[in-house]
Amino acid sequence: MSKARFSFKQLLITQFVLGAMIPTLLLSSLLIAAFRDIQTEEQIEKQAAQTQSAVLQLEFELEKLSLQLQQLAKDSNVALAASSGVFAPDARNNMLSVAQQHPLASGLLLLDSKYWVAEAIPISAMVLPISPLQPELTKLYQADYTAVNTTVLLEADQFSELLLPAPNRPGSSHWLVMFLPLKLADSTGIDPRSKLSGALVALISAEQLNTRLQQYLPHARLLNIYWQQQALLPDVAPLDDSVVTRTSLTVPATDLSLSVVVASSRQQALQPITELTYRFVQITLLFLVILLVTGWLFVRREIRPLAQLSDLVAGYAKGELTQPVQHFPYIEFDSIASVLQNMAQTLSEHQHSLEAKVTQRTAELQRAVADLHQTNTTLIKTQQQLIEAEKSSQIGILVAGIAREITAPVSSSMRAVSALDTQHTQIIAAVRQSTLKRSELEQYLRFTADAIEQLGLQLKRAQELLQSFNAMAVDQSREQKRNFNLYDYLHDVVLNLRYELGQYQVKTDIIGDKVMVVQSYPGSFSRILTNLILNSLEHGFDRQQKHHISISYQLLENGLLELRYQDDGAGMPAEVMQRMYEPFFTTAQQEGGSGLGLSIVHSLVTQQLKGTINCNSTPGNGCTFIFTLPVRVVIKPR
Amino acid sequence: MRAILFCCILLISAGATAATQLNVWHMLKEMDNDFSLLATQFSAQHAEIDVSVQLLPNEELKAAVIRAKDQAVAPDIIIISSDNLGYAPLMHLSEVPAGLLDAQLAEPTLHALQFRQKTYAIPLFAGNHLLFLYNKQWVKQPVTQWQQLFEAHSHLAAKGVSTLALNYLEPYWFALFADLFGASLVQDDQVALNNGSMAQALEFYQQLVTSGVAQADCGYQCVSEAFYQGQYAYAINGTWALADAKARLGDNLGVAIFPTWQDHSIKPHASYIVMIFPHKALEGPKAGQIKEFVKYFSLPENLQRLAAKHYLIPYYQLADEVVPVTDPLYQQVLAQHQLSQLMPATEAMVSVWNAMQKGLLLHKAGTLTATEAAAFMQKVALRDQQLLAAGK
Repeated sequence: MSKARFSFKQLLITQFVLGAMIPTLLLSSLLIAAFRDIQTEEQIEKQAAQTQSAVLQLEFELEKLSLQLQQLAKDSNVALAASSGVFAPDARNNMLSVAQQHPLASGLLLLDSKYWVAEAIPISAMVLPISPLQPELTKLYQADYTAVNTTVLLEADQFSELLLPAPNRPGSSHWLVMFLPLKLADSTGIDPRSKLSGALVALISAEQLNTRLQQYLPHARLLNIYWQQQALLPDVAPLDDSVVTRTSLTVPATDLSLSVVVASSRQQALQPITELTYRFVQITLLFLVILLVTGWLFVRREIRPLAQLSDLVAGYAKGELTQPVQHFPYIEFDSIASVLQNMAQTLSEHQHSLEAKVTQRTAELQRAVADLHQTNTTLIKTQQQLIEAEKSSQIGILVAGIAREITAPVSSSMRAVSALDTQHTQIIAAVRQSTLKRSELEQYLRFTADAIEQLGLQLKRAQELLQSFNAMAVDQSREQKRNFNLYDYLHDVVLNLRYELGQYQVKTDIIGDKVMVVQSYPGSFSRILTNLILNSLEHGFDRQQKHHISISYQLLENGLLELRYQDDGAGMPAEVMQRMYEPFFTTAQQEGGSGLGLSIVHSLVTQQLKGTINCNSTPGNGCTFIFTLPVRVVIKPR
Repeated sequence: MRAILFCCILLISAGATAATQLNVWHMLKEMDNDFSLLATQFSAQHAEIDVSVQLLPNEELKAAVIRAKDQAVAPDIIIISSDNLGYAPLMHLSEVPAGLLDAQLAEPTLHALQFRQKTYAIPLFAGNHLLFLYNKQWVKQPVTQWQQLFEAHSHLAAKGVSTLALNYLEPYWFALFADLFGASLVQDDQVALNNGSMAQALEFYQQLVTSGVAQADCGYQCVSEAFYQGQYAYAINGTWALADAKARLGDNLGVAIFPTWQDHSIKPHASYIVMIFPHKALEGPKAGQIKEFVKYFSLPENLQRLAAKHYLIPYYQLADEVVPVTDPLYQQVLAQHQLSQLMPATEAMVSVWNAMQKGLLLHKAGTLTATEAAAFMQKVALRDQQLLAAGK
């Protein structure tokens, strides 16, 4: 299964595209960045220039309004209208003409020298409360024929309500007010004979200045207009990215100089650059698409022979080593194909040779296997024979023990029978001879009674021994599962080995519940314990020293039986422990050890009883075998 | 020496033969050609008198006359409506000598020529007032009540025709409606604009616009040209425009008595067309030539010809005199003239127009209520009257 994650084709396309794109992008980005920096500066300067231009336009408009008002003030109809209603229509028409030309002025008033509004544009200004104008008008009227044009800045909420459209209210209540004296003179010059008939007043709201500046600066935002640090408009917070420009606005007929603060969005100012960048991105994307398509076409053409080569190799891999010679459009691929073909040819030859060798080796191996199988069968048979021999050996031991044990009761019985026979003969003789004395008879009777009792005891002893032998022998010869009292059984096994144990100074303890009856293979238990005891005696104990064997068992919580065998013999080194379960491994080769004892134990535990075995031992510290065995508990321990 | 003598003779002879220039200013656009023709005819008969006729709009004319006393082109004769005699002191009008005036003048006519009991004008024509015109193309039977006009509006609008051409912002036109509600403008030589009738008139006037019967932007062009083109069913215009209207609309032109409103009728404000002599012209060096021209101009044949042409009434024809005319249009003009009211030649009368216009505009703009506007009119008119009284 292939684990490759990347396509060579994709790699080639990527390489093709990146090879063209990266330099292009890097170069273009650098150029754009440089261009952006230059343009930013230029746009900021342009913004400042536009603001300056707008302010100049407004100045020009104010100047034009001022000049036209001056012309209007010189119009005799207007001057006369202040003092006579007959001139009102003409004056009104002239004022209307100026107002139409200069919407900057929200109101034009024609007042007489008694503060009477004779004419007003728009008409609503006729009822304008003129109290805010009175101080300046008074000054003007006091100056009489020497009065000059003045412009002042004043605050008048009342004007806004009447003169400004609702959307502009409530805004600024500041007004720029131009005062022009109206003079009637008999001559063209103004002299003490001239008479001041009233005043022409133009009202220009700060809101109107704001509106006009906004018209001139459609892409900027007027933040405020200041006069001597005083803001004329409600404050407008500049946006975070705005460019703020401050320009001075000169007002005609006064030394008033207003400061105009304009903010424009940096984003808006840089809009052309942003658009250019977007255009560049679009072109780049188009370029990228073209590159991808071109790259795909190129790579497709490039990797076509590679695919053919891949097919060729795949054919070889499938074993088609005799494919026809293929020719490729590229020298490199042709060369690889030629090499591959040579390799395939060589491989074909080697394959044939190898196949012959494999056939030969296979035959040899089959023979070897057959031999091994036969050997193994022989070995198994031998092992079985040895195990049987070992069994026989153990039975022999058992038989020998039984023979020894049975000798005493049989001998005692024989002696009792012999003595009884003697006594009987003597009694019979005495009877026959009628020499039998009462005392002799009673003595005989007592003797016979004792002899019979003794005989019974000895025969019972012999019977028990035979039964024990019979049980052990049967268990060892027939591996059959049955119920048995574990304690009694272990005790019997030890008892059957008392001769061998008697050769040593050994004390044997069996510790465990005496009631518990289990269902298992008792013969296996017997053989395991017999082997262990004989091993302790043969390999671990010294006849001159006292030794102790402890056999204990308990039922674990998981239901398994733990059987523990412990001696205080010589123990085993680690290298012996590693091999102690191997068949025929013995440390007592010279003493006639078969090397099968522990192997049989291991085999019985793991195969017959389906349990586990664990051994702990160190030289000089005895051995401990722990068996964990699955058993069916028939009578539970107390 | 002979050369000097020759030059002197030339100068003297030139001075002796140079014609006297008489400047005649007037405000009657429709009669400008007729006045010029008369002037030419007069000059033809009087080679030593050269008459120049100059047409000026009404308001401009008055202001120009007052301002022009020291100017080279100052007028010697002005043909104007008689109510403007209220400006007599301001215009420094010459009192008309008895010999120049028709001795047979009726008392009402003479009264219209006088300011503070002094006669300052030579009468020419009577019947200078507004008329209720209609286009027979759209109107078969003219309305007689304003309510009918409101009702006719939707029908006319359905035909794509506007209802009434009304020179809305001109106070002279508004004065018709002031009269309709009983506002008399002046009483006892005092302005009398601040009253409930005036307020009612203002509201009614506003209603004409809000109902769509009239348009606030309708001006002189609207009452003449637009009406002549058939865009309006009705129009209110002066007698001075009747000749043009007749020429343009022909038999489709109709003249009717002004409609009534709840039994109130309109008596249009009428005046005489007169000749006046500013800056004491009759006492100046051209007095003789002026008198010559006045006599020629006032000849009955001249006046009759012009009156017939422009549907006017020669001054010598009494208002209640039955004139045998066959032109039904002229009959209607005479009928309306019978129902007109002559404006007095007082300072109060000339002071109301400026005030009425301002009040009208302020009410239209919504700055003042009708009642406030009436009070404002009174205030302005009083001030103008006081200024005039003070000789300003």
